[in-house]
Amino acid sequence: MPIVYSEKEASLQEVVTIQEVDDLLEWLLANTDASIDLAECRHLHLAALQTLASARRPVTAWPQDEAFKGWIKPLLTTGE
Amino acid sequence: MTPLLEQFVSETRDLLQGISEQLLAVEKSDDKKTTLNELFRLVHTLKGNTGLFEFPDLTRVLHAGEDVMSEARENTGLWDQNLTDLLFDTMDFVGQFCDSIEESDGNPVADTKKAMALESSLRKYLESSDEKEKKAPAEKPAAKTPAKKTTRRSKTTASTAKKKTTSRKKSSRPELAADIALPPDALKVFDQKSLMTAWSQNPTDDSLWLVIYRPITECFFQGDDPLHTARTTPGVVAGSVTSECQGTEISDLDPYQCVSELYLISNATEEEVLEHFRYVPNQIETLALNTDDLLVIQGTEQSDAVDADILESLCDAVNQSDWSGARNIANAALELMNPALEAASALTWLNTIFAGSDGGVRDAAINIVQKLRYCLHQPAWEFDQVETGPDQDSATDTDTDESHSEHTESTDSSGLEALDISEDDREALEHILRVQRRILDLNPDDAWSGGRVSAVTEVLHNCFYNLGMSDAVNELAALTNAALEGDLEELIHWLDEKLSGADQAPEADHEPDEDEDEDDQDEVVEEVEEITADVDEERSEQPQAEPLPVEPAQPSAPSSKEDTDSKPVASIGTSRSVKVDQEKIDRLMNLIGEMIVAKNALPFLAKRAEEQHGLRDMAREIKEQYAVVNRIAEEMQDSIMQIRMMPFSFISMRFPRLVRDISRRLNKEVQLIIEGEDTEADKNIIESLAEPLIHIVRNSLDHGIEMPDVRTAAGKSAAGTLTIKASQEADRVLIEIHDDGKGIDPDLIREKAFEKGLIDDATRQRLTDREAVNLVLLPGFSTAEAVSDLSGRGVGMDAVRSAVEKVNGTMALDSEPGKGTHIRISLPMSIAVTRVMIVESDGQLMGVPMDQVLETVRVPRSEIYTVKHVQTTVLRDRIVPLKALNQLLALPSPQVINEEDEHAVLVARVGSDVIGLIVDDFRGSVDIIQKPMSGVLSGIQAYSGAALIGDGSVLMVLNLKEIL
Repeated sequence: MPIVYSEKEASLQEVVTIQEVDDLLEWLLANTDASIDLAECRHLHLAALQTLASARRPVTAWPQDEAFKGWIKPLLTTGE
Repeated sequence: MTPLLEQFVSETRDLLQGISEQLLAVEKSDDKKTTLNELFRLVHTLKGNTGLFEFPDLTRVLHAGEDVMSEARENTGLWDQNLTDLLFDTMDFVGQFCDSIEESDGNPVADTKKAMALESSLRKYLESSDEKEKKAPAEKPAAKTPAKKTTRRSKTTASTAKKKTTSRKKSSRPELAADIALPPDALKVFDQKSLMTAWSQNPTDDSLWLVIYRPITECFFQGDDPLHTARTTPGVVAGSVTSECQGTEISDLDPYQCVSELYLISNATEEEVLEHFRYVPNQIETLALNTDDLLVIQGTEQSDAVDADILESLCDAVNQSDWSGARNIANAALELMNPALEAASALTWLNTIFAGSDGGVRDAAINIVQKLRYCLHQPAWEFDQVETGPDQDSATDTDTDESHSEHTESTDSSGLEALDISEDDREALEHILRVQRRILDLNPDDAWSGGRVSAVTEVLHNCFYNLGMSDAVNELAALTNAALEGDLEELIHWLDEKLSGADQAPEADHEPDEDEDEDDQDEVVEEVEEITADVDEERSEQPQAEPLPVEPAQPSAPSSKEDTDSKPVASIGTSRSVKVDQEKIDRLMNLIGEMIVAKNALPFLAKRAEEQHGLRDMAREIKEQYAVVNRIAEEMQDSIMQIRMMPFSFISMRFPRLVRDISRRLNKEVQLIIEGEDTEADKNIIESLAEPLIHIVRNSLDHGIEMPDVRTAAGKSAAGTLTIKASQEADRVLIEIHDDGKGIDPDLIREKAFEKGLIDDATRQRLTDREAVNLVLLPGFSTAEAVSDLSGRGVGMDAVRSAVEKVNGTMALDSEPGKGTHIRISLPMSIAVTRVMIVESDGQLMGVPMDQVLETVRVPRSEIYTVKHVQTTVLRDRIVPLKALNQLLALPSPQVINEEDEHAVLVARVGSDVIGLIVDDFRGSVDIIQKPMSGVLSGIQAYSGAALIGDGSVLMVLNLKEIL
């Protein structure tokens, strides 16, 4: 499973494809104060990234890949 | 070559033809808009098609063409003859490319240089139009045009749009004015850390590219992951994503609409980058960067963030290249500072810079320190020009300037960012709204006010829709119906609200950045107010630019309507015709030919059944069956002939361009009239006409039609008229070419022909004017004094005549000096089926084409006289020379004479002569499908071909011209 959902946190792992977007969106809508863990994430489909950006949730851990982190961090931190 | 590619080539040719027609139409048409729309659609389709294959050069050139046309649609004033020429060149390039595809069997050799040249000339048009169009309200396509602006950032080059921004800025903040080409936001979106990494990886590397990738909204449905594409760009050193999603509530989010823009910095070459994005070339923009450009300071402004003393000592340290000292100072200052401040960002930069290699450290450090000083509202520091040449001087200046303006830009645009449109767009939008507002104020009692209102709503809808302001779109939709029914109150009120709200809009939409400092926000508002004031000022300064309030709206309103209305007109793609290889038709033609021959054997069979086997009933039944088969076969043949028929327009459609090109080159004015384009004839005939007609048209333009001043002096209209008319006359096609030029002077022709030894003195005296004029058809005749590149080499009319005669056509020329020249070409409609007269000679059957046969007569031997060794007879008071066929064919036996001592004479017309051919007997006429001789026989000129006749034997068809 590329995304592991718990009540408080969604842990996005490896490569998150566009197929996960529906579930992710649903979960984000259902868990309004949950946070995001990207530590294990290597790539996010742009659609998933947009969904996260729109959700404006705190990110508890950033990807280990610094370059990837650089790509997505500005977009996902603005809401904090 | 794959079938897909074949189809592409053939479709491209069709589209090119369409484009070239439209191009010509644009020049003439009064309603340029419609034509341009059509033209744009064609080019757009063509470009879309090229996307199927990997022909980057082709796509690029067409893309530029498409952009120009899209621009021209909005701004018809852009259109001029030079642009038409340029577009013709472009289409020629595409045509050549197609040739290359075919020649190389799918691996064309593209002339990249030419492609580049064409592209840049086209782009130049676009830029110049941008300049011209500065004030045009509906400039959206141009502004958003994803032109690959590869302008290297420098003091001299800057896009026009920016110049405008900065020049306006001048009025509000003169001390910050500077000429910069790069949108600061573009780099602002990057994480400072990534920028630092990028910088330290490329401390001296000069060739960096900033790529802005704007995927289309539907890209997810095409299987794209733009983020993946961007991340895998060759040489990517930093990247970032911005998205409208940030401002969208997650409950309103449509996750499958791409609303993001991706920014990345790459140290690969531009070619590599473009190659990587070759599937989405129109969605990316590349900008050249210097490493210094990466030194972007981010964060919140706070002018007292660094103590003045500390700043001084920092500058000193940098000035003395005391990196460790400077580093200590920076670190000490940084420890006490809020990391979100600009100053902190600058100090962090310094740390990175000092950690880097020595090369360029000083410049970078100075750059940053100057920026820092600017952030802290301190005047620029005068650094010593240690170990640097005079270049450095200016470089530092520029850097300082840049840092200033960069800063300005960012502060004022951060407020507008929320609307996600550039300042230019914003201004344009406001302008559009104001104009629409004024239109709504116009007299509502006008009969056409309904159309006006619907145009206004259409414009507003398109504006808001394209800006992604979905709320406004919805609100507008609600108001539109009421407005269309005549209740304008609400719409006007709403529009007023929008207009007055323009100032506050950024503030309202500013939510995402709420946690920024209060002063920052104030500044934003202030800034926006300034801009609005400026806009107003600009407007009041140029009231003449828009004489009537209605006018500026018209270009956008009808265009949007036409877009929707004329969509069904685009018929190119949905043609009901089938494209079939000519070979297949030829094969069908051969088969039906054999069928007819086979069918013709039935009467012989019937005859044999009756005569040899005495089966009379059987013979009758065979004949009945024959009648049925005969009818079907004939119908089949007819249908197949129909397939082979092509309209005259197939060749006439190339004339408008030809005439235009030639007349432009010769500086003559020519009006071309083509009539009877629907006239049909066999494909071979039509095709064989193409070359001769081009010759004739060239001749007419070159020799016939005079220069405008000569024409006016002769009392004619300045523009000459060239008429090409095709019509059908029984089973022949008649092509007439008429020009109203100076005509042909028969005396001049006589002299010339005599000089060249084409005629003798006696002939010269004897020839009538008409005959003299027809001398130009003789081989080697030319009256032109000098050989031009168009005509005059003396092969023209002769070549024309022989081409016409090859397909059994005839040609005649009439001319009246001063009035013009008239050329008539008569051609058979089909060469597939020929009617021949069968004659017998020396026990063999031979055919003579029926169109040459005048009559068949029996001439008593007593009436044949020998004059000067030539047998002659008198027929209807006319002397007809006689020739024996056996003699002509070198057959030893004499011609057979019938019981009444008469010769069978076939009177034929050969060229302009009438001649009697003595044969043994006549056998009636028959339709045959004549096949050219092949193999060793093809060298025998006496026969023009052979055919099978009903009894299965071969009939040779005589070529009278050759044997006489």
